Amino acid sequence: MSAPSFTAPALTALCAAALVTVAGSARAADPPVTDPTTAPAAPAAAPAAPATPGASPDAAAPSTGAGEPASGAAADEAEEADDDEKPETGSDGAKEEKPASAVFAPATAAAPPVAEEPNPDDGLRGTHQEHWAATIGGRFGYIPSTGYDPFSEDNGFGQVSLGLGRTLMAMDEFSTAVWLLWDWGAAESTARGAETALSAHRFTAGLEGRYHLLRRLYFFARVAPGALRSEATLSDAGAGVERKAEGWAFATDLSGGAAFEFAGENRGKSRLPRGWLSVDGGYGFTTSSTLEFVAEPESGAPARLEPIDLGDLAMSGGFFRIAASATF
Amino acid sequence: MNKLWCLSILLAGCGGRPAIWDSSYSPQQAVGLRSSVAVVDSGENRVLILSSPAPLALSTDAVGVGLNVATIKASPDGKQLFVLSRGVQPRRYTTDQRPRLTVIDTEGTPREASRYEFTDPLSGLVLDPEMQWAIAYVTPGDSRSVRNPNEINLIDLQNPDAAPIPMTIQSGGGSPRSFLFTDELSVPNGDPRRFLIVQTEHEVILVDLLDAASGQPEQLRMELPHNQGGAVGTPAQVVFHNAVVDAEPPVPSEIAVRATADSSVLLLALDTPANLEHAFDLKPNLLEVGGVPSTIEFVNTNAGVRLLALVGQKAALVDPLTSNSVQVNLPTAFKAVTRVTDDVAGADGGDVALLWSDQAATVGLWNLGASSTASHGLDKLEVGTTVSAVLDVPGDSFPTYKILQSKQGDFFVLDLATQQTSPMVTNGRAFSVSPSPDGMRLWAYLPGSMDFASINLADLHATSLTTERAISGVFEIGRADETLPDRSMVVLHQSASDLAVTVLDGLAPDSANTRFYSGLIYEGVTQ
Repeated sequence: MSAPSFTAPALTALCAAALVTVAGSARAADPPVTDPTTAPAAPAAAPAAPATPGASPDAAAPSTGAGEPASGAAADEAEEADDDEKPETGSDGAKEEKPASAVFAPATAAAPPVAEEPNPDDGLRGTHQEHWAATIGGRFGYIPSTGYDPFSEDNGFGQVSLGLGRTLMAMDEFSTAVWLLWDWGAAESTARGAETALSAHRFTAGLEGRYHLLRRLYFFARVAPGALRSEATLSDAGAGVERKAEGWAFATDLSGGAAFEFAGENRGKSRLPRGWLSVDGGYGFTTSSTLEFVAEPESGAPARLEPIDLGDLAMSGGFFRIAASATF
Repeated sequence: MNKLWCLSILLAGCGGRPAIWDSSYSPQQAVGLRSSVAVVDSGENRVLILSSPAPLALSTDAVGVGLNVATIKASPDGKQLFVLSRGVQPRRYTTDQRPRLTVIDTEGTPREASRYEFTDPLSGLVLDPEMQWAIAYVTPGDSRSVRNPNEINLIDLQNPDAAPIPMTIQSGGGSPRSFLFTDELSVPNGDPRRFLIVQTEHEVILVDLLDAASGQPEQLRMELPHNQGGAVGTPAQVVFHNAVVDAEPPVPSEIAVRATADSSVLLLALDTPANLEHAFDLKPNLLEVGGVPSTIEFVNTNAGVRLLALVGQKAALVDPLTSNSVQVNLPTAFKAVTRVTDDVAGADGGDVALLWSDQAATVGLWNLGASSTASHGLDKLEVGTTVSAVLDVPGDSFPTYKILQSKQGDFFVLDLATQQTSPMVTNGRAFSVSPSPDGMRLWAYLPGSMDFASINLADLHATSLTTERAISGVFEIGRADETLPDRSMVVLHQSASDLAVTVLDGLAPDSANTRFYSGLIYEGVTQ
């Protein structure tokens, strides 16, 4: 087993979430020229330079990685690069890096020039596995709480999910990540003719364990404790005012799912953004908060207006989420 | 992906909420009870029982009743609520609810005490003041393809497990218009008994309640005679008195029927039967009172029991045994009489009658023990306005007080002892007035306004009060624990979609010391 490769302290990095998001966007527009393995290759359509007699091969082609031998025919190499599912580890678990896609012909004086392979696959999980991630999606919950009845004619509760995460560490196919997640949703209905509304903000910090079945496909399980803020309104015809009930509750999501990378370079060391689609489902638990509706001060409510108690609201229930993520 | 979206929609659509959240609320009937106020929540087929367990506090309980409530009534003692419902009409399935009468005990935790079911919808309900019987009957508003308008259901309230007794009033063509339960009346040849007197268009029917619980009660029908115009009379009023056995000669129990447009009063005596297998014979007699009376009443005079009939500016005192009539001139054309014998001192030898009229600004206080042949003992009191109703003050604190209501909206407190009236001027607005159950104060409110008042009967001080929402009812209630002297004032505000109340201290009401409760229609829906 190889030692796990730790990235920069993720929690510290998550504190700079907003900055990273901006930086990630900017980076996606920059040409990836910092890594030798990702150095821009000559366009395939560009004519190769004619071989110079007596010149060394190194002088005729860019480096493909330290000590890596040049491979055979360019066509074969391209085929291998497309095969994203071949085993990537050796018998000892260490990464067995494949020869980078060679774009050079053997150093023979008579060899014809060969076109360079663009974005050669390095066979690494790399940023397929270790990355920052920003996600947006939809969360669909089933809230059986009786306290939810005044706000919806059924038990469904839709939310928008936003999240920012970072891989904490990776070891072979396994990795862990942390997330900051925000789910927001709202519902409107009537309760015996009175207009009602509910909005809920679920703030959670998630710890996620992943298993990469493929470089572009991984499964994960996540636990995400946090807090839920609920804000409900009730149009009180008797008092002639709109009442509000607000509360905080402890919340924890337990979920599992899968993510599939649908866009991005094959090369593990690519720093270009990647696009993912994920689906997860599980159970969201929250403690109960009391739906005690009170009127706002200066709202014209009758003096000494007593609250309306509609019981307890617990936004607990099963859910699933569909999300699109960008990693970088 | 499409499958995922379908799954999400399916998941979101799973489960529903109780139907109560989708039911509406509209202003409904409300009645005051001893320690609570009952309000029908027809959208949910239940009754909300509002009580006040502590000063300014409010507690709401919901009790389910039958579907489609037709009417509710409080028992005379204010401890039970009677709810008559029509059920599902028309019934198409055996599971469709039948019409029913639900009796709810409202003391302590409200609960259903008993239930009576009927085969057809009924909307009429009459309660016996002595709480022995109740009558549920069909009204023209009860839609039936075929209905028997003479059908009533007699309910034995003393035996809650007994099924209602269906019976058809043996009318000669009319149908019941009103019902009257008599006190217990002595009969010559049997046990004393109570009667249910049913008035139809042209008859009165006496239903003997002595053995009613054991089966079909006996009915005695008496058609009214033709009046002076040749038309068959219509009953307008029925009065009764028990037998006076120590009189000489003894006076049997009697029932008198006043008919519209008739100067004669039909007297029915429960006389000695010709057939001794019977308890009595109903002996009719027509008493001429000298004109069409506006009201009649049996009174005790210094000469014995007399039938008092007010005819214009005269009073006819008729001896039921001899049919002899004495005409007494009155200072005013009184139209109504209220017997106040028990409320005044020095009424030995006869009754004291309060005479009043909605067309005269005076009332008369007539001591009939003083004379039965002249208006001796009749005191005339100027009250400054006409009187449309006379209210008793409950309790023992102010037994000599009567509340006189006028059509103009003003009302007066009349002290029979001092024969003084205290006006309460309302600027012509039609205030609704009701005495508190403990008889210590009056409550007056203007429906639809935010103004009401408390009048302390001890010093007749009127305290003006206001609420912050329109008033639809005012009720003073006590605590469930009858030993507690505290009382609360519950002011009802019924809007188009909510029920709210303002609670005040019933003993020391103050607009600055209230609590406002709304959203009462949500009671019980989250449990």
